[in-house]
Amino acid sequence: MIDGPEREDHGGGTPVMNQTVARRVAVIAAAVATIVGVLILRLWFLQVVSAPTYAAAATKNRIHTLVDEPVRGIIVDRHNVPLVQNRAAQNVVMRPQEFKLNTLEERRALLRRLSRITGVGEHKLRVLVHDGLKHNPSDDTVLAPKVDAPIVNYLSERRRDFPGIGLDTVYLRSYPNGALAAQIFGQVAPVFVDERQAALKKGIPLNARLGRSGLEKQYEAFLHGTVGKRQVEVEANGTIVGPGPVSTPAQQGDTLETSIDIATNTAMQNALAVQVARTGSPGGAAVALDVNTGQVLAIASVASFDPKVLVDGKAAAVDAIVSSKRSPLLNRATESVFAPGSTFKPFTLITGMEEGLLSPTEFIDCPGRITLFTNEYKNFGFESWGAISLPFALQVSCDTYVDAVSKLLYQKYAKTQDTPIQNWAKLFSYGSRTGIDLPNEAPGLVPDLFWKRTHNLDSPEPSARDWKPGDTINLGLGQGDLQATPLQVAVSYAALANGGKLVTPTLARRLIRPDGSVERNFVNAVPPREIVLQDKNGNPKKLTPEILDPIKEGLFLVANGRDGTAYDVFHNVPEGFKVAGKTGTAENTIKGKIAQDHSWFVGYAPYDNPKIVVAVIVQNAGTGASAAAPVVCRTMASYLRFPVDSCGDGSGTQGKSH
Amino acid sequence: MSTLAPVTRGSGSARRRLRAETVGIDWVLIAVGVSIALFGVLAVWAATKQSDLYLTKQAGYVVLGLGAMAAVSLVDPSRLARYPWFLLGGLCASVLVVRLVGTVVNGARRSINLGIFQLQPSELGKVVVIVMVAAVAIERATELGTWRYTLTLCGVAGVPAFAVFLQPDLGTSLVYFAILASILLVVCVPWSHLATLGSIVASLAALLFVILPAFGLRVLPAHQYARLLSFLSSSDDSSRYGYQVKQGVIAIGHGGATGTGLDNASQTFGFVPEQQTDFIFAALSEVFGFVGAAPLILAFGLLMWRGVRTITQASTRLDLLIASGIVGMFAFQVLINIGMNMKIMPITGIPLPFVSYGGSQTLVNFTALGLLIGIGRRSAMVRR
Repeated sequence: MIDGPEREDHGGGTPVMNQTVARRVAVIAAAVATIVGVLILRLWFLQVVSAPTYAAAATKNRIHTLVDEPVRGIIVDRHNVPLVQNRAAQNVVMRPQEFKLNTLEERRALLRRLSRITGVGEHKLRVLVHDGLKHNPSDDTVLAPKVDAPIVNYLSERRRDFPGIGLDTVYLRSYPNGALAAQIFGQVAPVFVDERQAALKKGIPLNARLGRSGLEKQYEAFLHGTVGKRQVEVEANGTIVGPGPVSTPAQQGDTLETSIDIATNTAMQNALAVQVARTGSPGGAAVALDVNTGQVLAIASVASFDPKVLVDGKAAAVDAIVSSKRSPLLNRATESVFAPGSTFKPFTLITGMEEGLLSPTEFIDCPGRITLFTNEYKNFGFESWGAISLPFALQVSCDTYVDAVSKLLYQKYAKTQDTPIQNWAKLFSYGSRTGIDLPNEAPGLVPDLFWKRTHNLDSPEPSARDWKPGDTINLGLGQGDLQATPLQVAVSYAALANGGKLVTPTLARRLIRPDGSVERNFVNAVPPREIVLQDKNGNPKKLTPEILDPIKEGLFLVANGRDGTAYDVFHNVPEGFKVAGKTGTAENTIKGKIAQDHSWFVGYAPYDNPKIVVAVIVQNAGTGASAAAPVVCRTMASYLRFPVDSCGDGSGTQGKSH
Repeated sequence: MSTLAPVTRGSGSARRRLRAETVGIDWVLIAVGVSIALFGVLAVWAATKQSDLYLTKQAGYVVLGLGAMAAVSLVDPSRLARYPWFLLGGLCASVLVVRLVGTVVNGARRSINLGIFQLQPSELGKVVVIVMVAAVAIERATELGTWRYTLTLCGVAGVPAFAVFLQPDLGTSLVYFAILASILLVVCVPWSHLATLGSIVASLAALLFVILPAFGLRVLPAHQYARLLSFLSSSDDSSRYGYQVKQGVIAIGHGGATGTGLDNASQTFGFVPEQQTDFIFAALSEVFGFVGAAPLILAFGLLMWRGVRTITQASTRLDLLIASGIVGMFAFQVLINIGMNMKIMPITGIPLPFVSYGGSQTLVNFTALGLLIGIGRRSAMVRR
């Protein structure tokens, strides 16, 4: 191949070829051979040895993955009645494959017409289209979100007049029960511009809608569903040329089954709204728990709002809710704290008994006024009941009786700086989050010396950093710096009702996959814990029947005893459903001024076999029996199915009891 | 095996006259060149989504090239070589004229529109530089071995190279230097001169790419740095050129042993840049695979080997040098172009001979082929 036969004939080469030149030409020949060798080797390496790697790279290049948002899981009550559902809405979108076929002139005219129809500014449409074609050329770009039915009809009838413009179905949240328990569900919102980087890192598609608050946030991972992936083959400029190898359809999110009983919740929220309106209160909250499991049966916060308004997103209506002075978005049952007032008395008395300073059968004087540590304390309305026992002290909510116990407790521990009331209060859930499955739960506050020192660190008054006798007296009455959420009050009474076990309140019962199988079961996930106080010597102090029974008796008498503070509301409750509970009339200030008392009632029923505990506060509505107790009674009537008309309306109790 | 046996002069028959006219013609060289060119037409067609327009045009250029080859093979360049300074002036002038009035393609003025194709004087200049440098080398042969001689040859190639570099067309100017290098080698310039020049080139490259940039001085435009150095980075695809070369390599790898065929060459359509010109090797490698691309490289090897064979048979020193320049030109272009497609050489705008789409370069390669054929013919005549 290289040399012909004549090579032999002219073996000496041509006249110009000599030894030197031949050597130089040999260098060129060697270079040529080397070049061919190197190139062949490299080609072999690329095409034969590493072909699989590059095949994958080429696939990655040309396969573009489109993401389909799944339909969000719905939220239902304990009887599978929907609380939060989905409704379809239509977005006006630009479909790049078709839209690109328009000439520039046609695009301009098209967007001008679209702007007139949708009300979206023409310039904004142009920017959206430009960005969409540039940055996301394989996928639809939303031009006008959630358009109204007339626009949908108009556009779907005139498809041909709008080449490259389409309608895309999106699923929005809908709330069949309106404002019912609206605060617990929370909102769903798209990925915001400043979250895009973080979202991409976590693998969240940019068109995802995420739970932002409430249960939607708490169970986002389950409600969101599995994102669908649709692969398409694209050219370098993003033009789709065909389907890709893999497609997984989007899978709807899990159904969240809550422990809410919609009938009870409705009765509770309606009754609360009635009392708030009747008393001119700025708001109120109510929560009902299963006393044994802590499952939330009903939860309500007034003022409330219609979540649909937020979903529709009309600016003026949204603003009216967001900036309302009555804070309708606030879940007062878990996010607001109040002084628990007299509802706290049982825990002071339990402390007294546990410390051996108080016997339930002991008679202690209940004067109209009492002077302790140079301060004068008085009973509500200066009522004087003489020497009374513990149950009766609860029945009539005698402050001076409790003050006397608090005094003994203070005196016993003034030296050691031990805090027995606080210790017991904390065991009953006060001062820390209960752990309910909702974001933003408030921890409340159980004050002690340490807290006073840190909280008043900058106070010019040194005595503000001391724990004074009056602080113990106030704490014993559920006043002073003590603050609790209505939920904490409910949890603490559930423990009284169930024989001394602390429950963890939960809203979620189960997460159910679209195929009906159970993804997660939360029932009894956190079993109730027995409340035991380890004292300084390591000896456990338990809530024995000897301690709890007189308390429960007192709570029963509150609702059923002749002089009981809530007798008017509860005494007609039929046998078998009898209620035990406690009123509270919490003194409070608004912006430094003494305001109308908060009306509290917390109780459980049936007394013999407690099932439900309900805590209600109506802010600045007066005594506990007048506003809060009727809400408790109606809630129980709905849940336990006894006649509602056996509940008193509380109107006769104003000013009489507390 | 290709050259025919010597015939006796004065034979009357037509067959004998034909034999006399075709004696010394390297048919293997022609066959290889034409095969590569036809494969090139096929590759251009494949790389342009089977565009009839590109197919027709490139086929036309090949036909034109064959004509040029035939014509040039009959011409003895020794006549042309009498006026090397005229050639030098003409080349520089045409390059500069194009620089002023030519058509802008990719930001550079390199060509002038001739109706059928964009004529690039700098492409044709490759052959001119070969003849010119060889001619001056012969003219000054008495000075061989002196630095004056060596530097004169450098200047003869360097001046047009600089003019072309200003277009800007770095690739073509580098080809001029490759031609110069192979002629200097074969004309038997002392090894010490070659070593010195080599060191100077290496130092200049170091200065240009390493030392000056370290001090913040950039002589070349930024994109040239990016292009030239992109092959050094392992996975940098942030720059445009890094991206190009990465896509080229992916395309070649995607082709695998047997190629994707015309319809599945997803890389070639859209991702591979300049897929019918500078990166045609990547495109054809994806479509035809190793079984198509490896024979192409071997065919280039055969082409160059026949060129080397022609060098050894040259009957005059001018032919010897011209043949060397041509082999140097082909070898350098094949190495750089295929090398940059496979990410082992810097990206410079150098086409793949006979394969890349383009009128000027097809024409110049066939012209060079014609020169080689002519050299073979003349040597056969002398030998006879």
